[in-house]
Amino acid sequence: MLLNALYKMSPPGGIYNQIVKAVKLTIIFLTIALLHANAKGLSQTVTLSGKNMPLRKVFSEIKKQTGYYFFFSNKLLKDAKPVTLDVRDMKLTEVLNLCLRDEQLDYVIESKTVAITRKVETPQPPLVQVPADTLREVRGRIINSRGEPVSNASVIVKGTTIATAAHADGVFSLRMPVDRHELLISSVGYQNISFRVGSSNDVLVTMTENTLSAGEDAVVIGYGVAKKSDLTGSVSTVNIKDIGDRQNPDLATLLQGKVAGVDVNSGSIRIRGVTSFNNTDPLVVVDGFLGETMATVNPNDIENIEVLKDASSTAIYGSRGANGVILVTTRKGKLGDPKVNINFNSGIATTPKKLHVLNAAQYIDFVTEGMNNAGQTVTPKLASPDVKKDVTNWQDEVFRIAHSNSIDVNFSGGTPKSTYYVSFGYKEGNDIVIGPKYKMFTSRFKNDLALRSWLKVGTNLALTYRRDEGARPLQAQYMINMPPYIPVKDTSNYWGYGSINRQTDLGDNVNPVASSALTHPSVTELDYQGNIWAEITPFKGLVYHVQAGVSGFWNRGAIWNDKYNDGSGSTVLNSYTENSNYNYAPIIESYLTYSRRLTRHDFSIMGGNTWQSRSDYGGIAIQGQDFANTDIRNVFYAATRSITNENQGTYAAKSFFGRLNYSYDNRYLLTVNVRTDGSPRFAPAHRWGTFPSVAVAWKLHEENFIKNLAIFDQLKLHASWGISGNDAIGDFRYLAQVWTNGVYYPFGVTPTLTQGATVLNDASDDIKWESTTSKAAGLDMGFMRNRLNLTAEYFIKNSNDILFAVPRPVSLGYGQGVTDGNAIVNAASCVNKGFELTGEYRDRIGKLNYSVSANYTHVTNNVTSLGLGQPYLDVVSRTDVNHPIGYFYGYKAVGVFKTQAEVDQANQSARAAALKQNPSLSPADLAQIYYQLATTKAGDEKFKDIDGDGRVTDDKDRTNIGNSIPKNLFGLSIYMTYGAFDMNIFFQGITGSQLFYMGYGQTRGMQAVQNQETYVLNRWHSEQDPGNGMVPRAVMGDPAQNNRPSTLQVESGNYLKLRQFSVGYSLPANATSRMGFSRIRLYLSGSNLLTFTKYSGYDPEYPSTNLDRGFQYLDFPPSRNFSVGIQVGL
Amino acid sequence: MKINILPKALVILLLTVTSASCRKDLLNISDPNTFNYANYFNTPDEIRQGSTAIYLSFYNNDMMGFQWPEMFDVLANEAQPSLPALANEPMVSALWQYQFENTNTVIGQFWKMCYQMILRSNLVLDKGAQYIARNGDDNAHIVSQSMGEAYFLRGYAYFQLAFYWGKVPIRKTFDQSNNINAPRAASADDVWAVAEDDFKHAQTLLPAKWDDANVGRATSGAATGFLGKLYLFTQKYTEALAQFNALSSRYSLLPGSQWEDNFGETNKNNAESLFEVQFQWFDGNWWLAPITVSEGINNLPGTQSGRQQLYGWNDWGNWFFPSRRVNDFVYTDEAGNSYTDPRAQLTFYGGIGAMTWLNKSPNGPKPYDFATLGYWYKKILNKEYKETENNLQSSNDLRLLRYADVLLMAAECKLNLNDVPGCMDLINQVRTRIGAFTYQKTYSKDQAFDLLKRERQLELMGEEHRFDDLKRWNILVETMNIETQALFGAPRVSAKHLMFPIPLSEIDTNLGLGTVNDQWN
Repeated sequence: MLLNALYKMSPPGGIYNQIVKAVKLTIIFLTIALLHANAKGLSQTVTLSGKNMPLRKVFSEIKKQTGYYFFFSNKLLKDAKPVTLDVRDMKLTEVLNLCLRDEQLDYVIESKTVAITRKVETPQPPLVQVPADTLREVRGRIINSRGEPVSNASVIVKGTTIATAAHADGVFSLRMPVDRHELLISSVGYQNISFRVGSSNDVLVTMTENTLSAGEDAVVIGYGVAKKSDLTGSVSTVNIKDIGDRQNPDLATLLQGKVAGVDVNSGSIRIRGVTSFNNTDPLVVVDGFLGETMATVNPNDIENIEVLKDASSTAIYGSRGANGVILVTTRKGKLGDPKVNINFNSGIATTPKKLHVLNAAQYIDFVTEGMNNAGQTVTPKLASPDVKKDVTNWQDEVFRIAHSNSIDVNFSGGTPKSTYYVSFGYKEGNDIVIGPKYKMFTSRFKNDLALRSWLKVGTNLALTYRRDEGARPLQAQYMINMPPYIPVKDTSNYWGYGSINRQTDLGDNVNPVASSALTHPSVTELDYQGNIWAEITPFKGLVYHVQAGVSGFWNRGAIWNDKYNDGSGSTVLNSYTENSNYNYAPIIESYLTYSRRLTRHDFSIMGGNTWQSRSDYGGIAIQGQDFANTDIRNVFYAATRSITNENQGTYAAKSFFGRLNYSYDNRYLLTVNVRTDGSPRFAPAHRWGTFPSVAVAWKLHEENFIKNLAIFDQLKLHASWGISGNDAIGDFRYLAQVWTNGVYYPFGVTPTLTQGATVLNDASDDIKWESTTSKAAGLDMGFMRNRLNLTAEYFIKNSNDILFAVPRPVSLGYGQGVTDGNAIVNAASCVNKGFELTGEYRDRIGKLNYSVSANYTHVTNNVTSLGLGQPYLDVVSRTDVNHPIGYFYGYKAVGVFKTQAEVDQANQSARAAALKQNPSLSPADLAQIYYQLATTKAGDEKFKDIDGDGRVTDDKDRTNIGNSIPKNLFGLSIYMTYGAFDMNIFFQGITGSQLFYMGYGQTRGMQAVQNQETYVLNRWHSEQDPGNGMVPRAVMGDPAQNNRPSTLQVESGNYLKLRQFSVGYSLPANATSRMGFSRIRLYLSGSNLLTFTKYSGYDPEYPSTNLDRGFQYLDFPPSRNFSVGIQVGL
Repeated sequence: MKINILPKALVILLLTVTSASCRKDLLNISDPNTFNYANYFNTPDEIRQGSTAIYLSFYNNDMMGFQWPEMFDVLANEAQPSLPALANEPMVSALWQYQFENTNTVIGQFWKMCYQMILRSNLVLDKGAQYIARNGDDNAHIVSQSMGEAYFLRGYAYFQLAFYWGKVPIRKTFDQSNNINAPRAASADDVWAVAEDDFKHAQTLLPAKWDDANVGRATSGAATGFLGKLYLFTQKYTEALAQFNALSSRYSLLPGSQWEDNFGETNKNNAESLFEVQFQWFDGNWWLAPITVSEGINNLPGTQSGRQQLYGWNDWGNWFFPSRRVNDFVYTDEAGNSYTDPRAQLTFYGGIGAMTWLNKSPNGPKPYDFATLGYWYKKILNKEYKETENNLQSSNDLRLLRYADVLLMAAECKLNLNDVPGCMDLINQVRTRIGAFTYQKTYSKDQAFDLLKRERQLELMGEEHRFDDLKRWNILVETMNIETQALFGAPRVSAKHLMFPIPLSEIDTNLGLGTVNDQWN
């Protein structure tokens, strides 16, 4: 129809031919666009090298890589010279510019199709010819913000196929229908603009350089974007390809081993060492908004992650950035037709390891021996043959194969004035341990609008729903400790499960299957984050950015407990507990940036503030006990019910910040940051802290003497200094808080609960900000046309006034029960020193494209001073000058006393030594002196007399027996594609770390009537059968304290893990397009696949805080995961 | 080019809004959940809450409802661990074997309990003094009474510290900022002096009797009794006797038929009781509270006693009655005939003890299966009317001082002041009540002392007095070594066991403590 209409309205002749040509072009454009509108999802960049390639070959290669179709006539290419290219990840338009540079050819891109045209002379013939009276000639010049011409921009009349390319001097002209007013102008390195043509036919167009994250070498930094080459601080970008198939839902795991200087241990992240005893989690900023929780970001939505590591990069976040900053950018819509991506994934997970425990016969032998050595006999039941039967393998009962399924769908697209990105994700699954299951729904809605040339606004909303149900067994320990002869189920107990009888079995353990089955917890949580931002450019160079957001959650937890008897003769009543919590945290930030370039001087100044107020949170908990009728589980129907807690809170923060960036001649760079923070966590006199930083960089590769070497594509030296602060101590710790919770005493003739009140902790109103001064220097190098990139950095971080609740004298009387009530003090200073190396090599061999990236970090931690002048000991974790934070403090085990003669000999020597020191000791006093203890017998462990006084004493013979802060961290990623196949391999490891097995007493210590690991088979049995010489005798109650903290509990924590392995296969483009898809990729993926370690427990990784890091309690191990998936693009 | 005013105006407007919003008082947030030292304990009622909380220290740290009685029972061989106790309570079992390690958590928690009482008392004394200074007067006497309770309980704590540890850090004020790393006192006498002073203050500030709602709080009589006990323990017999004599008009022995009320769940705080730790089971109590911590768990109180659950043969059965103690109840009367003390029937089940139980229950009486069970306590249990304790549902108070003890302590004073007949009179008062024969003969001082020792042992068995008595009479080593020899095949007790070791937890945290000799005390 269109064709017919054009025929009718066209006069014959030359014009006719042109029209026919134009119509052909249009039809082809339209057809191709329709056919291949879906052919997307491939790269927008081109990697190509070769000598003297014909253009035709170049185009077909580009098509393969990008999915763009080429339209050209053979005649056009007949005279074209072959080209020599070597480009990596170059934008399509740039490649085309390069190829056609010396030809009389031009190109037009429309809807995934590249049309090669003859380069036209001015005035050029219009592409679409319409009657002359409906066209007007528009002439223009395109310049950038500095007034320089923008060459080779493409200019299209919006809504038509009328297009042209500007000349090198930025001049263009075209014929524009009078009823059209908008030109779409694009050029490499500049933001696309839509320019409105007024009544004048002469126009001046100013294009803005790409500074937003869209540019490939643009890096998101705090309150702004910088070119990577202009960075002065330490910023690492996580290569999104290395993340692979994102099964793992948390950020910490995504980062593990990917970035030098970042130490991830079971979900907690430490950047460049342990600088504090407190929370050292880095600040997470999602799309520029502070205080978001990573847990609610669907990993499939992540576009980019950057880690800011040194003070220069983080100082703009002040105290919040003290532990480093992780900037997460989520995906956004891109210019173009709507795209839909779908990802299905289905997986299983297993436990990577089970421990070896005693069988029933070995168990009874151990119990009998242990009781006899304690001077006791076993019960008739334990002496009978009935119990020497292996009935239950408790680990098999507790572990299971877990399943998970997920689907993620996202929609995106955009026009020059607006883009959108919408994603939905659903995931459900269960745990490798009986009990828990979960389902989770995530969503994100992002819109960016360019409302006016001076105004951009955007919104970003994320909603997450998660429900968890079911309980894991009460303690992992019971899974090891339960005797093998107890059945899982036992119908003679009214609650239906096998249990231990204190009188006859002598144990106290709880059936782990029963404890999981009889309690029914659930947690439902809804998280929300909504943001809106606006960017106003009132005049050239000045940008005002304002953003307002709110994040928070609401959750409801409920626990129903069945009535049961735990085996100790006590009936636990049924009960129902419910709690509900919410959090609402608004934040407003605004900043003003002014940039200016004066010949060789380039500077920008930014200043802004953060304002957080009326952030509030709270919760209540209610409980009911003893339900006669359990059909309705509602606290209201309980025989006794109570409000057990109410909690309210508010938080506020206020900050001012500023930054100056200056560069001279694109060679010398300077950044100065300052931020002032106020925190209500300190007493009013100590609330404000100011945190400055300075950084410099020198782009050596811009210097001629380096250029002349022709070795370096990049060579940049940078150094920084700065201070950051930390207030992560919890609210109102500076006050002596009143304690009334459960403080009741029954007074009265008729006893009545009487409320009491006291204080639990001392006030600490003189505490002030903890601060870290960091110095860093680094060298960035690029070789071989940037195929090889190396970065080396050195850092020193001095932390001062570390805030910590120092264990203070018990005789101060604070705390209650097991809580210590220690006041927070500015307790210590420590230094973290280290260096990082990062290298990446990308290349291709034939069809094989590959990249190998590796990183290595070496860091040492040392305490330099103590605020109160004394070391602190927290059970085993000690902090003292000239040692790492929280090292293990204990005895050195030297082997068992094989015979009583050895014990007697040691005691004799001890007495001789004591007599030497104090000749006046009476024989009676001397008889009370022992090498270790009066109760030490043959078969007990011998510990080292470190101070050489002939005896082992508590205060003199404990020493540093290990430390868990790893000295060396490394990661290795390999990503490769071969034709339609892709593969991702990732190894990660640490060395120089020790672990302290806190479960030792329970599973190896042979101190109580409970099953043990087979470790104890090597124990001392008798003088004739002394075992392996290290494992002591079994004796209930551990009278000789064989289980005191010692090297027996310390093991190497080094490991190397194959964290991830995945392979994918993408169906050929023509096959997928025939099916109506743009992309189909099938993949297999596994995580936590292999662990190489000497550690004998489940897994060398175990969640912990800074001070008790490395204290491995017996806990359920992380799972090993396998999954299959399919990614589909529409 | 057209000048667009709108963007400029908008920026100025937004800048103004975001800057102006930064109010100066933004950071002045007060804690919405919790009061603090400054804004609480400023009214008489709040100060009384402060004194109430001091009593909670008795519950805390596994003490009065759990390991404190166990500790002193096993140290005096008045209870023995059964297999479950050996397997599950290694720390108390270690004390039974006379292994006093400074890592023993029972000793450590007892230390912590004392200092927690001291801190909570110091808070009340500090805020109470501020109140009186501010208001001049205290008409209802609530503040001064609360301060009296604080003095009494602080005195009690220093008494324990002086007696079991001797030289310990002294903390007499709430503000310890200049004394955080407190040194040990120069001598135990300094510690005794604090306790003496505190009891004297308590005597003047506390009422002789409380209204019905406050029964159970310390009285001036309790302060007098403990002051007397302090004098006795420090060999000041005249002063001690004066205090004990002052109590004769205010307290009396219960009739023999009501003997059980000295240990039971009913008729608590009776005429014989000077001071007791209150325990009460309420429906809804958090059931495990008293054997772990009572405070802070879901706001549910844990005010019941754990002891009955721990000592009952058909409950947890951790501690049984030692057969050696049975023999103590058999001795000769003045005619030289073998005599079984009537308290045998009241103190334990089995043999010469009670052979039926549940005598006061509709389900009873039941014969006691002595052949299978052996000996178990009767006097501290509720087995005459309750089959089991149903999850620690016991309301038995722990009597720390009762008048029978006062009479026997007064007898001891008289003996040491060489008034042997006066001593025998008081012993006979105690014997008459329970229906034992009275001593009519004339006895020498040494003979009288032997009779007094026996009387204290039989009257107060299972009430955590024997270890103290043996220790202060300086016969602990010789007496207990006969018993440890019999139990373990070797004597276990030496002079160092007269003192508890300073807990390692204190040594590790208190840098100003000073030398602790020989990892002991």
